[in-house]
Amino acid sequence: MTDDAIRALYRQRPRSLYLRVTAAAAAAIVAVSWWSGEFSLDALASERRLRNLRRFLAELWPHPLQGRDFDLSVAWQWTRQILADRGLAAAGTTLAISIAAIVLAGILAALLALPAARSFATPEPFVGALRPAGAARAAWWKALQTASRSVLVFARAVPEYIWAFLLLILLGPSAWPAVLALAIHNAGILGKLASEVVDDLERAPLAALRAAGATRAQIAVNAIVPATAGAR
Amino acid sequence: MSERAATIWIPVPPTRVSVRSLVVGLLVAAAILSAMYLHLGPGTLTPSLAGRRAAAEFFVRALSPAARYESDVMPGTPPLLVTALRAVGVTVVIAASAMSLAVVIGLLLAFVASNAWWIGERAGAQSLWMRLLRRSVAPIAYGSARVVMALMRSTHELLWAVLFLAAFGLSHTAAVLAIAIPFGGTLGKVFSEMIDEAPRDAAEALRGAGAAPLQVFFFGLFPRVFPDICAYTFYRFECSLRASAVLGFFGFPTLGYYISASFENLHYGEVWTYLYTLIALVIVVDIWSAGLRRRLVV
Repeated sequence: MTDDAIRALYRQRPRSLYLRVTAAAAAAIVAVSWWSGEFSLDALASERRLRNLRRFLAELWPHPLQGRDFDLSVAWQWTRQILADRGLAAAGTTLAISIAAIVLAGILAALLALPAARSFATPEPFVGALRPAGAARAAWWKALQTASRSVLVFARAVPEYIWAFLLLILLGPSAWPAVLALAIHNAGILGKLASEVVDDLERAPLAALRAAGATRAQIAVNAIVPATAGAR
Repeated sequence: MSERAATIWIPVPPTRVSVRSLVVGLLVAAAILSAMYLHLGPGTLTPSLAGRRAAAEFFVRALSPAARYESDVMPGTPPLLVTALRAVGVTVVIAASAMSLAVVIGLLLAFVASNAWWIGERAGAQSLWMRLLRRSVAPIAYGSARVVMALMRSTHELLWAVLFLAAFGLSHTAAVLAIAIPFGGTLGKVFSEMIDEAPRDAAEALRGAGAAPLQVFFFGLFPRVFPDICAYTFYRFECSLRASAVLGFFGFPTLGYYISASFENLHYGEVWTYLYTLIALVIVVDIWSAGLRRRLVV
């Protein structure tokens, strides 16, 4: 291949205005952020801050061991004391809350991911170009898709803490507010990611299924779920 | 000949328990055990009358977010919407600075923590130094980078914020470092996995043509994962926006600061105004990144 041919190929490379504008905008946002934010390491140099930091770091060392030589039996005693007091119970509660929350979040996300996927929530999934649909049906599916995506955005844009506050007011003190707050927030994140995985699936096999007369539910159960269940 | 042609192989589904059903079964069991441990029952799920009333009061205000403050403010305070926009500005500034730092950290760690550039190399043509590097230094660097990334991301950004608050006070530096460190660890882990799982075709071709390991990495492997890296970075930018907003609960002047202040004063209208601003911000980034994904990940 001659240099001219290579140069001709180079000129024909795919280029996208959107990507260029995105790159420029991202660079601009980063530059403006670094320039406008008041960053300084002066704060670290101030005497009071340094003292605070030193005290903070000193407090990280177990209290009974401060100001004396390291003694394994004292350290072990201290560790056992903390674990017996509340450490083990707290770790167990943390684990139990996160498991309960992520299972609920996974179920909610799985329910919302399909109606939120652009490729699935259309009048004719995967073969849209072949079978144009009526305006009413198109509007219906558009509405369903928009509604699901809005629910997902709302669930993840509202911070967990706000969800927890609200649920605490609503339900009173139990483990439910914590579990539900984490579940709702993470369902928003997982649902978005799952719907993107569905959108990124290879279209041809799904379109073949649809063209062969498979129903939406059949495609979902037999093709989309097996293909996405193990996806990252 | 004809006998052989008549043989049709029908794949028989395996009868043993598949990994997937095992995982699902374990998850269900874990969920049931957790629910029992936490005493999660329908009894504690029914809201009290007072709770229902308070929550209704909050959610009804969703329809009428405040356009101005719900109580008297100090003269000279900018209008509510200006405050909200400024908070968005600070949120974006902190998120973007933290993200740019995290990407640099993540890329450096990902390079060290990917095994693609030092495993599976033919040893013959290498100099003694290169062989020594690959056998000793590279695995150690690889392992320690993985440990460092795990340490960085296993501590939540809010806990990093506590540490940096002690060092830097309520400054941008503290917020940016608190987000950049855990996000750098996450980015490094995901980037390095992307690099290691990428198709090696171009890399093998370059290697066959005699390219050096670093050339193979930068011209054969990295370009293959660059679109994925960009798409994932954009998604993490959305996460960092939310993290930056939440850091406001500690007093950084991001959206979370105003949300929690209004919440504590029971000014639910203001809360909704700030929440809608945050939601709008997330939607903008969501739409932007969806367009990016459509063009990058084919």
